[in-house]
Amino acid sequence: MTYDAIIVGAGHNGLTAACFMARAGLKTVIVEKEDHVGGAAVSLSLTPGWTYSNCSYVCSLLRPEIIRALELPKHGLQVIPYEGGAVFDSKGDYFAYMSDHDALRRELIRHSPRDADGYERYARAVMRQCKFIKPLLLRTAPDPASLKPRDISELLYILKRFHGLGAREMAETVRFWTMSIAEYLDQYFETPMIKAYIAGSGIIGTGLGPYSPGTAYVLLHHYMGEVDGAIGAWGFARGGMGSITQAMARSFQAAGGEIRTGAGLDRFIIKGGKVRGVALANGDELMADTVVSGMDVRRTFIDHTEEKELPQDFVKGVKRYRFRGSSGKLNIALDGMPTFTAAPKDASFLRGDLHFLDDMEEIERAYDDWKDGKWSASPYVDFLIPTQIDPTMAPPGKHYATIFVQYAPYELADGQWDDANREAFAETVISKIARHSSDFRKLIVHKEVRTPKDIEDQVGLTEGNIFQGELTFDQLLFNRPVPGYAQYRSPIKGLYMCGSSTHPGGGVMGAPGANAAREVLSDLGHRIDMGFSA
Amino acid sequence: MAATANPVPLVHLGLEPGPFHERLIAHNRQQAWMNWMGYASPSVLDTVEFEYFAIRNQSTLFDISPMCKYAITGPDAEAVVNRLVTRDMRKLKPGRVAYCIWCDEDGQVVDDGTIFRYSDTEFRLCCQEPQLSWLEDIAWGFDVEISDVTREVAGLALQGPTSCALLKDLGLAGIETLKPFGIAEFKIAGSEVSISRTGFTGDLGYELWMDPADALNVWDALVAAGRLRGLRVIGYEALEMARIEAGFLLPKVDFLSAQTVLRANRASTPYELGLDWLVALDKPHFNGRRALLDLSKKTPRRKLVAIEIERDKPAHNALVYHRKTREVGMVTSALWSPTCKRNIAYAWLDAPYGQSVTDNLWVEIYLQKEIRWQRRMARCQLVDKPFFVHPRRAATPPADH
Amino acid sequence: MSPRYDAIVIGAGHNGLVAAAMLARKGKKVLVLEARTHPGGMLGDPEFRVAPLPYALRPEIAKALQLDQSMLYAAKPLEVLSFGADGLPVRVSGGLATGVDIATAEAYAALHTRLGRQAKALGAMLLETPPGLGKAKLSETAALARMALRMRLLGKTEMRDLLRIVLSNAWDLLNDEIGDGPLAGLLAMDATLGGAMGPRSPGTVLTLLYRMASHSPHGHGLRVMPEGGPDALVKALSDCVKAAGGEIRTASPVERILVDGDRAAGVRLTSGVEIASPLVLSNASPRVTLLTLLGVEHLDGEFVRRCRTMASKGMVARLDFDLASVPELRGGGALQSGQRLVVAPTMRTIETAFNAAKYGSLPDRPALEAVYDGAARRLSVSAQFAPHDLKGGWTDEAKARLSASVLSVLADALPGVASTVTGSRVMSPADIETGYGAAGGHWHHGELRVDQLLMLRPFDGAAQYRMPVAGLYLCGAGAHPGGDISGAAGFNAARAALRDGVH
Repeated sequence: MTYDAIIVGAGHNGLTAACFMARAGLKTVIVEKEDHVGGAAVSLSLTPGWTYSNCSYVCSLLRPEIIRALELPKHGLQVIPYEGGAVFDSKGDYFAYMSDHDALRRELIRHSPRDADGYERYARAVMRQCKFIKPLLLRTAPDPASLKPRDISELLYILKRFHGLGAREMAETVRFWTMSIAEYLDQYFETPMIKAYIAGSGIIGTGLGPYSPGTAYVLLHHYMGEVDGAIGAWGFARGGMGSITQAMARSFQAAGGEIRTGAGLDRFIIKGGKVRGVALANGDELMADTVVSGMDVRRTFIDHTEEKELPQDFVKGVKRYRFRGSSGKLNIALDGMPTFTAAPKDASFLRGDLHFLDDMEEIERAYDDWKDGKWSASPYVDFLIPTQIDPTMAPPGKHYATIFVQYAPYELADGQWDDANREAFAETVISKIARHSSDFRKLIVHKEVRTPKDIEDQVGLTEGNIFQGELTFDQLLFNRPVPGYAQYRSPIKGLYMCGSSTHPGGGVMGAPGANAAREVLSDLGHRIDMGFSA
Repeated sequence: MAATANPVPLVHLGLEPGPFHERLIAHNRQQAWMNWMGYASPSVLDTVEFEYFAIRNQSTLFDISPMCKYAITGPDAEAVVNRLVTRDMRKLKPGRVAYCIWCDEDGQVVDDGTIFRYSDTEFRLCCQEPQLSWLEDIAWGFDVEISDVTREVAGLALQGPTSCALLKDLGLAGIETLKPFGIAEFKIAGSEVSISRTGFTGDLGYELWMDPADALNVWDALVAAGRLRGLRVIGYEALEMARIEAGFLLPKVDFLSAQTVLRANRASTPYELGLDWLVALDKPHFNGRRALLDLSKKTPRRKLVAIEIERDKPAHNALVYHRKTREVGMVTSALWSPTCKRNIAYAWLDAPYGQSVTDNLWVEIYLQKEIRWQRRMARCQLVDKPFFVHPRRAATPPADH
Repeated sequence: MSPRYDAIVIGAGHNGLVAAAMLARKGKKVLVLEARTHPGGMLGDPEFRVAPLPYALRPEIAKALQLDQSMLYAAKPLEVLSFGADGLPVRVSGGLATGVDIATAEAYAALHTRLGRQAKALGAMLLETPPGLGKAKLSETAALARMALRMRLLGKTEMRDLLRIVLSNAWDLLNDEIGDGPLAGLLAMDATLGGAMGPRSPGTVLTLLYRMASHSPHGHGLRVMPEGGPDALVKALSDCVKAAGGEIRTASPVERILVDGDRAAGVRLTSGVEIASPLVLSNASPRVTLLTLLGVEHLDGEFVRRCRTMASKGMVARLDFDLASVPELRGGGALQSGQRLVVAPTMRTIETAFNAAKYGSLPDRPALEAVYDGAARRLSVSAQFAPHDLKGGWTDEAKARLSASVLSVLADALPGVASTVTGSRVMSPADIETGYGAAGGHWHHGELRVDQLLMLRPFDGAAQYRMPVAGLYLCGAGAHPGGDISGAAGFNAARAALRDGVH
């Protein structure tokens, strides 16, 4: 079979790229090794009656421009905002992040009037950074070592925006991008629990602790949604995260695209430095002069490309590229709504993200365990029960809990990720939650445990890194994934990358896919109208 | 360690009742509440026009408890307050109040408010936006204590020509000798009340400060005495009309605090706001002094001016043009003044307009006539503030009406 | 007031002396006021020096001050012994490493050369006043442009490499290039010593490059001990000040910087004596200078906030051990005077030591840098990480505990050393803070990290030596380009003051 373009991997970025290409009139096919689309944005039923968001679990950063351009709501996507969140400490108190601004202020004052004031300053500071960074997400990063007019003008665009911030904000920006989240929050808050609540989201998926320099910028996630337009930006995809990729798949098919599931890749077919198509594991060969890989950079180039086809420095760069998964996941079917010792009954904040922490030091110590090749003895847990809002994922009165766990190493220093260790890992998490919810354990009907190893095996994310590679500066912007190859093109003509290994990185954002599609279409001489201006 | 404590009660969700809420409910026939720092504050109780005319003709009650209030006390209190604001606070005597602004290090206005001086070492700041961390930054290194007393002090604005008579009726001996910006202590129905001759209406009026536990007692006494003096409880909208007439600026409407802006160029300097008279560059160092010294030598890049517009349609949200074509600014507050019978507004004008160029200015007003919108260019000219001036505001002793 | 000076320099640390010498040589009447009984600051006390390895004075400064170059740079670059997990030393001279397998030695040499080139490109800014943020003068921007040009001249590949690693951590870079071991331990020690970061902390490649940018006539990243040791350097600088007509008064602690009409007017000593001068340069740390000596009443609240919250947590304790005999190296041979020892067998040992310090505790096994003074039979050790804000405080018991753990780590490299100790002294970061006007007891008067470098050093709004009160300048390590006994901060500050004109 011959196509205009082949996309490898039906994750959200592969699907996004595919949609844009099909809509531009290319005869496009997606090949996917699993028997379902979705990659890490899936909703699977592992026990009758329940649907899990098996991997990614909240929808925060999916670019509104993409939702609109691909008409995802028309194809069934609904994002429902969730309400606040809370952290419970070991002394029986909690801090509730109320969704109502005035209630939040009162809750902050309950802990510290100073923090209530600090919160306003903090929120504005992060919001200013969001406004600065947001336009860069849907742009291709410039190569600072290049003298091409396009790279120079893009570099000037960024410098001009930076300069436009004014002197004070320029200094703030440098601090924001290089400071540790702990130090950043110390500027605004004094209550350990409040800092821990905010810091937690900064270390999700990373190989850094809250005391590590360079973690503060992840706070952007908190407000990016608000910059995108408030309600609906932070929420659950109705029906689980799979509904995002399902909507994308429908959008793709509506544009004439073809999806082949159960079609694992054997290798890219490369002749004379140009890609000619793909050979599938089942022996089929599909031909196309444009192939876009949604897989991470190591799978694409080390596992499925012959090394002789690639320049040495590129191979070195890919081999050096760091994954180091640090997260685990529990999905739990519950027989009823658990109660929390410290929480007032029916508190609205239970419909948000829940955590069990005293302070940032607890997270940092959890990180120290990971550095030593152990899962955290007292892990950071991001616990949500989406079924309080989403009626589709569990039978009435029953609930589904998604539990993200930080930190868990890809390789254990002692032993392997066998069933016994997997169970012990789950027990660490469950017993931590059970200390705050006495009925939680007995409500468990079914559970799915995913270690970084499982995430690699089941989803195809190398070393279980949920972002397809660490989000540290040496792997961001023009460094992602490899300096000199940060513009979605690879050393092989016609072979492109569109996964989260590329700028601007992970999270169910869709931006790498959209950016890659723009570069592909521009190389193919298409007039680029993606439905939004970047 | 297992968490065993009892559930912590939830903070109040939704709008919070203030100290006068029980009484306000009874008066609020419109059931029109607005959010003022999380408190339920009436926007209109009955009819906005009648409430407005009560300010200018009788007397009115308005709950100002949601104002942010900070006590600044200690041996260095004067030094800290003087370091905070641009006016020379060494000149403020105990028992007096001063309207002030304070600036950031770049000379951009952070907020405005009133500073009450109770003694050599005791001050209170009243303002619109939370300032705790700002005050703590300013006070760092000084022997002073800063505390947020917003919830410890209830406030009522009693404003209007009969307000002094009303207080006299309540037996407040000597209230008639209280000069504008003076403070004195009284008892109303047995409750201690601190009264300042201040307000946001540009008319004769007082602000009453008390323990929230005494709030209803004082309210009831005022309302009872007010029956003979035409007292009316009012909402925010009527007050807003009076404050525009009186020439007062409103943060978040006429200008933004440098602390809250997301875009660097949205903050404003005292010179741009026309508040030069509040800046005492000759006093010892205060926050923003060096930047203000530089700014004082330059032409402001834009200016907030008072304008009067031809005809009678208020210029809400209007853009301002020069020669009807070039966009040179925008209106922030606008009002058809029922007392002055003038169409008035405040507007930001980019330099040189409003400074060296003041003629041929037009505002673009959109009028709706039976669901059809019309655009009208109306000529406007720069005028002096305030629009409403009456000798009774400052007369001491004030007349009874 | 007593007779008027053209300039007063607070603190006779090496930067203060360099600044004073610069000004005096331009004909200014300069008075240096030193609180301690010796000039030289952290180099100065012959009994117990904070900085026993003063090897990085910039040759440009030596030249400008016409110091005796033969004394400063005649010696060979310092040899370093970095001890492995087996206690055996790897000998390192610049890029040359012996005692490891050939592949590692080659990889190390290549890395050393590469980092040296990259450091040199970045180092272009060290002797320049950093540009003002958002309102840079043309001349200042030119310096930045020169740095950008130098980066481009590295070539595409190396420039890209530099931009990749520059904000990254030493851990990943060194694991990629040379693997963990005593050589990585040595470089990671260079990257972290004096700061509050472990090798895994992003930003440690930058501090490593910063160290590599130190410059002697022997080349980049190579350090030379002056002939005669630290005392000789201090004497040379002091003599230079005096020769140019400057005056140095020791045991004269300054209590207050005097201000008149928003201008610096002189200083008041703790003795009550006031000395007038229109120009005051302070070699004390920014926090001490601004918050203690000047006073917050002269400064804006935001400025004060940035000053008091700047990162400046000292993490190094100094220990001196008097030894009865010359220590023997494990594997044979005696320790030689002037050798630099590093006991950080792997990066991981450094990171583990950092773990404890993050939470305010002392590590069981600190990472060490040491130098042996044969004449005095003294082993001077810098131990990290020893947090300034140690939980429970720096009690005698805590110091004894640290001393014991240091000796136990040393014993791996120098077997039996503990039994030869005849006397010992411990100086905590808290001691350094009180003794030397260094906020937080930080060697560099403030952490060296991206948000506290160049136009952000020591913090936004205070970055060009000139302080908000006219006539007051920062001339210590808290100012650009930071510490390491390079003298650059004092040199740059004096030039800035001269450019502004002395009033």
